Amino acid sequence: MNILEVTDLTVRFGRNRPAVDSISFTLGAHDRLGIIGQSGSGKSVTSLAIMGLLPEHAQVSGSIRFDGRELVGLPEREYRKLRGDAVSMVFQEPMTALDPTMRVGRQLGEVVALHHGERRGSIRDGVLDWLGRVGITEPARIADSYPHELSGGQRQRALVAMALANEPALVLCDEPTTALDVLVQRQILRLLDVQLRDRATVFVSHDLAVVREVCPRVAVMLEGRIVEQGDIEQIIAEPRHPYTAGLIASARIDRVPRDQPLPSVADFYTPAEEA
Amino acid sequence: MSLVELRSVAATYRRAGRDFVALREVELAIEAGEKVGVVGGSGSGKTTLARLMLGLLKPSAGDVRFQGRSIIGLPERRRGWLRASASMVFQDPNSSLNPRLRLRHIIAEPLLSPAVRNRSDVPEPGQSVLAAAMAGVGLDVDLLDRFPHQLSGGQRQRAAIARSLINDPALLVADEPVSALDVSVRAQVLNLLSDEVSQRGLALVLVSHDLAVVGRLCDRVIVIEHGLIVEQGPVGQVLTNPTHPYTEALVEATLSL
Repeated sequence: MNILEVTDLTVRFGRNRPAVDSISFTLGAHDRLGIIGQSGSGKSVTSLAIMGLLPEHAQVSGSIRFDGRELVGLPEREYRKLRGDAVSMVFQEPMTALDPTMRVGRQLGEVVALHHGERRGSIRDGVLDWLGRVGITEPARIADSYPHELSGGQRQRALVAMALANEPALVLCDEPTTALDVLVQRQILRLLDVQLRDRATVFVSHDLAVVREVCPRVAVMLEGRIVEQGDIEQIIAEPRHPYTAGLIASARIDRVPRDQPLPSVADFYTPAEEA
Repeated sequence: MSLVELRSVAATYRRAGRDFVALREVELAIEAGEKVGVVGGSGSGKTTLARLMLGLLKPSAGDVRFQGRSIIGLPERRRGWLRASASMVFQDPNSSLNPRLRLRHIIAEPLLSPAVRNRSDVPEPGQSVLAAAMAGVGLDVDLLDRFPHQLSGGQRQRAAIARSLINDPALLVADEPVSALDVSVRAQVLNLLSDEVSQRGLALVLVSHDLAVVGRLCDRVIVIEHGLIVEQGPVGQVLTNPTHPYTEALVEATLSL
């Protein structure tokens, strides 16, 4: 059974062209779907819509069914319960996603407590356990540190722990490695690959090579629409939409001889003129 | 005489009440027209190295020389020559362009410092100079009266490149110039940088953690780990046959399609 069914989802802000335009996809309980696109493609709006984090003036239509329950139009009170429990999110910028004034252990402790409702002593144990599970080598020291005292990689690990400590069925990752260097990126992708087993994942990124490390399936978004979706290896080998072909060609910097210009997306696909 | 020379350079800074060593014992020479990549992970010291070359940071030990002259401790009024000959392009055009200025003022800025003005061969930034600068980076001249927030990310980075080239420098230092850009515009900006650097015969110092970008634009590569140069050599050799384990790790972690 699918844990997530998005059908004809449309999100508008005012009278502009829809930010998300009638998209549909499904996700099985242990599936991972990458959503790829450039800024403004609607990929982040899609994940915010699923999380119920869109601003109030957003007009949402269509359906988002999670575990059989309709999320479009769900009251904020209900959504808040869902976010603390069955659905969570890993953001791009751990420095802004973490509260700078609160020690890491306390922030993680809030999630642990929310989920388990346990006594104080066991919350600390839960925090240290989770920090260890995300590969932090000195859990006690990190728990007592403020976010700015951590390296970028440690902050992102802490954020992954916070996203997983409520044992969510669905995790939304929004560019979780974009702010990291290649070495730390590799570590975080490996961590996510292990920690997201047995959960459903939507992984939003502008980088197809990153998505490929984690997701067997990908949807390509352009101007609010999904222009193609399917097996990621097949799409990389035989893209059907010219935009996808452009994304792939322009990412293959290392394959172009230096005396030839790099191909860009614009060589493959030109957006229709705005009306 | 090398264009840039770093002699036994060390740099330390204080953060969270502790001293961090950003660079130690760096010996480096960059020749005129040379294209050098500086690679390493976050915190390796690569950005510190770039900033030292432009006198934006002071080393805690050693000497930094540009065109044979030391730039250490140079008072502000004697920096005109350095400003006129060396430019920088930063990672994030959102924060490197003054949001309150129109593009025409942003791009002309390197020509406007009093010290640079004193050089007789620098043109007054008239409309024709600005229009040529815009055309050179593929921007429509009509955008001169826009503010940065009215441009796309790719357009902003093109504007930053126009600003960095308008004083016809001998050295361009680019710190992760495409990593904040969408994949869809990255290739265009790389083509632009590559063309401008080759046509002008500039020396390029490209700081990046993206080995593909360095492989594309540079002839020589320097690998920094924890403030030390651990490996350097011709780009093809270092990226295909790395000898240091850190370089190997960087090569191995680089994703490609």
